[in-house]
Amino acid sequence: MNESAANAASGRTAPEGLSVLGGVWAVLRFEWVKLLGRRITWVPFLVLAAVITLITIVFHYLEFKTTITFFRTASMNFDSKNDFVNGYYMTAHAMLPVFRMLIPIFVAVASGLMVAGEAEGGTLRACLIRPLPRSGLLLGKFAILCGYALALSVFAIALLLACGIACFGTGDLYTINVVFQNGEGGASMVPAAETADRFVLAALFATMGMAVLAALALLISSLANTAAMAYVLTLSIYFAVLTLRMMPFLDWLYPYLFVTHMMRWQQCFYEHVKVGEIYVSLVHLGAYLIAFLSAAMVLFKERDIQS
Amino acid sequence: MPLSEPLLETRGLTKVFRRRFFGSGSKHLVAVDNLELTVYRGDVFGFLGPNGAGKSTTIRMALGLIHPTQGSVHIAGRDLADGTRAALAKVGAFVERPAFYPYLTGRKNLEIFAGLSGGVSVRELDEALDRVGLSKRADDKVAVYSHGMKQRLGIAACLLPRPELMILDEPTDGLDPHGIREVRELLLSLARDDGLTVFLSSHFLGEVENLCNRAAIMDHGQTILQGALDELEREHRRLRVETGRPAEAAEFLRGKLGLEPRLVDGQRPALYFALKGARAEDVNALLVQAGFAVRALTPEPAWLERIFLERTTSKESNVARKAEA
Repeated sequence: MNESAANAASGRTAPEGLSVLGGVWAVLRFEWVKLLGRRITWVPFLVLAAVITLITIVFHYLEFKTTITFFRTASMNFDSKNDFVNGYYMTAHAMLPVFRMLIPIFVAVASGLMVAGEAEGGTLRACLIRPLPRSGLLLGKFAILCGYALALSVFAIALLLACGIACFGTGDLYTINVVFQNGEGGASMVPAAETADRFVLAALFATMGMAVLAALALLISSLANTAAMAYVLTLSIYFAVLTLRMMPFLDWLYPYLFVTHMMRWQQCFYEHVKVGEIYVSLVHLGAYLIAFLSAAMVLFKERDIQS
Repeated sequence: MPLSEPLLETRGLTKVFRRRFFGSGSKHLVAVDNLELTVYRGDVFGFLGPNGAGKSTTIRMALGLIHPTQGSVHIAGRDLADGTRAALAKVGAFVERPAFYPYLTGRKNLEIFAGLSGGVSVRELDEALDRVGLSKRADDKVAVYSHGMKQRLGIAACLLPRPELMILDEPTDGLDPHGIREVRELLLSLARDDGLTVFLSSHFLGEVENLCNRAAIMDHGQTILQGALDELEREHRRLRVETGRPAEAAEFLRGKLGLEPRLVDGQRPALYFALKGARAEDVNALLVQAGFAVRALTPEPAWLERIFLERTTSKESNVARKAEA
C-alpha cells in the first residue's frame, strides 16, 4: 500500500509548514522547557544569591568613611553610615556591578547555549529540518532570552531589596552622582516614597539593555559552531566596548557605543531624572536591537548548517 | 514495475564550498556536482558512497540545512527553496545521528520536535513510541538511553507528524547486531505496512541489497550508478558456470546471448561473466539444451560490493581531494 492510500485509509494528511509567527509560537512553547531543564540555567540565580549575600555582609561591616567624605564635598553631612545606608542605598549601588558584569555574562552564556550550543550538540539541525522558518526559530529564542534576562534582573533587584531592607531598613535614597556615571558633581536624594517607581523603571531599562546584549549574543551565536566560541566572542566585544566607554579621552565616542545607552538606567536614581536623555537612549537601544537582530536573522538564514 | 510519481528529486544539484577566512580564495571544493537523483513514492532507496563522496552534503541540501550553489531540490513537487519550507512538512529525517536534549525525557523530546512541525496529539505520540518499542522508557531522560534506544527514538521523531518521506543518514551506524536487525525490521515494516518512502544512506552494502528496491552510488560528488536494484543486478551481477568443454561453452554463449565469458583456469575450470540483463535460469537452460553438462551455476554473492569497490575511490582519496582543495 502506498502512502497516499495509507493516508486515505487512516484519514491522515501530511501537515503544512509553519509561518514565521507560527514558528515563533512553536519555539516559545518549548524553548522555556529546554531552558528550565538545563542545570546551567539555574547557576546564575545561585551566583546572584551568593554575591548578594556577600554584598549584604560587606555593607554590614563597612564603615563607609570615604563615602561620608564624598557626601560632605556635595554638602551632605552625615555623621555615620546609619544616616544614609539603607536597603535602597544597598540595592542601587549593588545594581552597578550586577548589571555591568554579572547579568551580561549570564545572558551571553545562555545565548551561546541556545544556538551555537545546539549546533554543537546536533539539536539545531534536528530543529531546522522541521518546516519552521529560521527567522521564527531565532525570534522565538530571542523572546525567551529576553524573558530570562528579565527574570535575572527581577530576581537580583528583589533579593537585593529583601536583604537590604531586612538588614538596614528603608529611608530616602542618597547617591553620589559621579558614581552613577552622569559626569556631574554633587549628590542626589530620592525620597523613600519615590524609590519603588525608580527601581521598577531602572529594572525595565536595564533589561532593555540586556535585550540589546542578547541580540548581539544571538548574532554571534548564530554564526559560531560552539557555545564557548559564541559567549567568549560576545563577552570580548562587550568588555572591549565597555573599556572604550571608560577611557576619558574617547568621550566623543560615547554616544555611539551601545554600552553607554545600556548603562543609562543609572540615571533613574538621579534626584531629577533627565527624561530627554532617557528617551534618546531608548531610541538608540531600539536601533541597536533591530540592527543586531536583523543581522542575526539574515546571516542565520543564509548559514549552511554543517555541524 | 511501472514507476510511481517522484517524491524527492534533485535537479543539477551542486554545492561548492569556498575556503573561508585566511584561504587563498581561489581554491574551492566541489562537494556535490550536478546531481540528478530521483526517489519515487514507495521506494526504499539506498544511497551509497565512500566517506567524503558528498552523501551527507546531499542529504543536508535535501533537508534545507545547506544551501545549494546551483540546482534545486523538489519534495512532492514542491521546491525546497520556495521560502516557505513547507516541503519539509512531508519529511521525517535525521542526519549523521539523531540528536536530543539529554536532560529531558524521550517523550518531551518528541513533543518538542513534533511541536516544531505544528504539534501532534498525545495518541499520535504514544503510537510513535509504541512503534519503535520505547513506550516503557518514554519517561526516562534521554541521557540514560543506550545508543540503540536513541536511534529508535530518532526514528520515532521522524514519524511525527505523519511524514511521507523518511530520510535517514546511517540509521544502523554504531548499533550492535540485535539493534541493526531491529532497525532494519522497523524500516521494512514502515515501508511495507505504512507505505512510507524511505531514503537511507548506508555503508552496509548488504543492508541496501536486503532493504532497498532502488539505489544510487555516489563518488566525487556525482552519481556513478542509479536505478532499480533488480535491474542493476541483472545488468551487473556475474555468474560462475562450471561446465564441460568450457571453451566451446564460452563461444556458444558469446554467439547466442552476446555475453562475454572469461575462462578461469584452476582446479575446476569455469566461465565467469556478467549477465547483462539475461537471467541465470535461461543461461542454464540454453547450455543444457546445447548439450553442455552444467555442473555448477553460482551467482556472484557480493555483486554490489564489487561494483562499489571497482567504481568508487577510497576514503583516503576523497579526504585527500578535500585536503588539496
